[in-house]
Amino acid sequence: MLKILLPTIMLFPTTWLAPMKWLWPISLTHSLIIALLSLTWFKWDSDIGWNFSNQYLAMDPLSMPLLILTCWLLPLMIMASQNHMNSEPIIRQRIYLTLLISLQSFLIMAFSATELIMFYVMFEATLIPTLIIITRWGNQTERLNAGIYFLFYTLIGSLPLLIALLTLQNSLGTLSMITMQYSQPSELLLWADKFWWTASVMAFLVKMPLYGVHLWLPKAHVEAPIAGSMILAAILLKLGGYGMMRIIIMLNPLTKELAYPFIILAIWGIIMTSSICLRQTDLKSLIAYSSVSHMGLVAGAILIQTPWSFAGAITLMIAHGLISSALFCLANTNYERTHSRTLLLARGIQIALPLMTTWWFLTNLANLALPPTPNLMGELLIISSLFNWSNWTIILTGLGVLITASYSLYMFLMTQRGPIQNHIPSLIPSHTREHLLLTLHLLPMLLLILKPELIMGWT
Amino acid sequence: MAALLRLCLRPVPRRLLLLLPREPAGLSRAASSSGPASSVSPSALAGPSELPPGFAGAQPPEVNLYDQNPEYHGFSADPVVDVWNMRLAFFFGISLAIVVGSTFVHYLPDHG
Repeated sequence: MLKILLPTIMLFPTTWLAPMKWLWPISLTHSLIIALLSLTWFKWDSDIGWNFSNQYLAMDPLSMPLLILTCWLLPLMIMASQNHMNSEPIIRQRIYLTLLISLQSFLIMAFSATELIMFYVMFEATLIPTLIIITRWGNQTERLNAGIYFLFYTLIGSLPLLIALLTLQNSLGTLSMITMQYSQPSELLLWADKFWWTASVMAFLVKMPLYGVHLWLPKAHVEAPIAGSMILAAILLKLGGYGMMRIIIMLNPLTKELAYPFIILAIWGIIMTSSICLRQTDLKSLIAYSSVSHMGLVAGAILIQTPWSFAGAITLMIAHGLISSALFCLANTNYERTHSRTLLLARGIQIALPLMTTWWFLTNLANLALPPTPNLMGELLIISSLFNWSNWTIILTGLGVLITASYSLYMFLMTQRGPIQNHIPSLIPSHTREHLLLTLHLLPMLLLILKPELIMGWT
Repeated sequence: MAALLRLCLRPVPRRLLLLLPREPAGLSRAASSSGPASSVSPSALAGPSELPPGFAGAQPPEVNLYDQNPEYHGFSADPVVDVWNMRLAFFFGISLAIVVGSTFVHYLPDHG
């Protein structure tokens, strides 16, 4: 664990001591080496369920794919940010990279934490660099409002979680995840235990986000710069899913009754948010609502707590992380050229940038869960397990799949097909950097098609 | 002509408006019922020529970097750094991380 965490922390002095001209190549190379080393985490040789452990940090089949995705995403964020950061003063470029690296460090510690308070502290710590990235480097005045929504939605959910964790520590004597699974389940009979259950899951449901408490997400994703959108969509939402999967083992037997309204909200949210996608005029907003829709499936799967649903949730989290990040990168290629996120203003791009259309096509196909992508594997497992839990859910999840396919095709056709707009007769050709960025998103997706069990958790 | 345009940009001072013939109250359609305090004073409005120099929102003029460097890869305006950045990104990203990394993962023993 430390052989990845310490090089990540050493990225701080690398960023501040690198010569001005070579700052971005050096930090990109360093982060790619860390990403390469993180692939050793796929090696599984433990009988006790936890691997690569030390006193505070360990890994298991749930956190392992998320950790590797986190390490993979940093070089992609660095590559995506190079163009728009070129015109900034060098100090601000270093600060920007420092924020990305601090996010990476907090996320590694959050996913590998074996103790719930450490997880909570790292969960909260990720808010600060993200808030600074959104409010300082966002492009529109609405970024301030977006930062407020992002911060306060998450805090209102997570402060009760702190109380709940301290209560749990009081009753169990420990918050170590390693031993929690072996402790006697407490009899949660009191009315106050229901509040404790809600306090435990609310923070993660807000983070995921659950439909109903999702309003922070479109604002934050849209107003953030490209690296902010990538890390939000790919990793930070999954913190919510991961946290819920960790805490929910302690919440039985209350979950069987109390989860009902949240499962209903999650599944209904799939329909609502995917329908909203069909009416969006802002490209980044469309992708943001698409994330809410996919995370609704994940939330429903985690709340029903079956082996297949957990496997589907983990698979979909990883697959969605890669694809959603790729979609934001594609939207950014449009934005850097036209300085507009409006769908109507950047149409017919295929004529101007035909190679980028290939990436748009593949990414949209993966987003609509085309077989044999891991997106489909995750969605199938989740939909099957939800059907097993209640047959009626198939109506909503099936409708959700149809609408997902509709808006993914809509997004592709609106941006790529049709006549190119008169006000953008010539666009700067696609850069090698942009093609490489999308390759590095889609090649892992292709490789996961061949070996999906890597990201399926405990199967 | 420019002076005329500048006149169009500036709002007409209130004292000049008061000199205009007024319509009978029954015929007016757009009479404001709010007092004079609610209207914006002309001094509060500034034309574009009165923005402070070095306006914070001003972006540097956009330059097509392909004009300066036909071999531009998208990484840096400096051609040497651009090429080396591209090489490093492809070597560490594709050759090592994807190719060597996926070979390593393929040959891992099965577990579970």
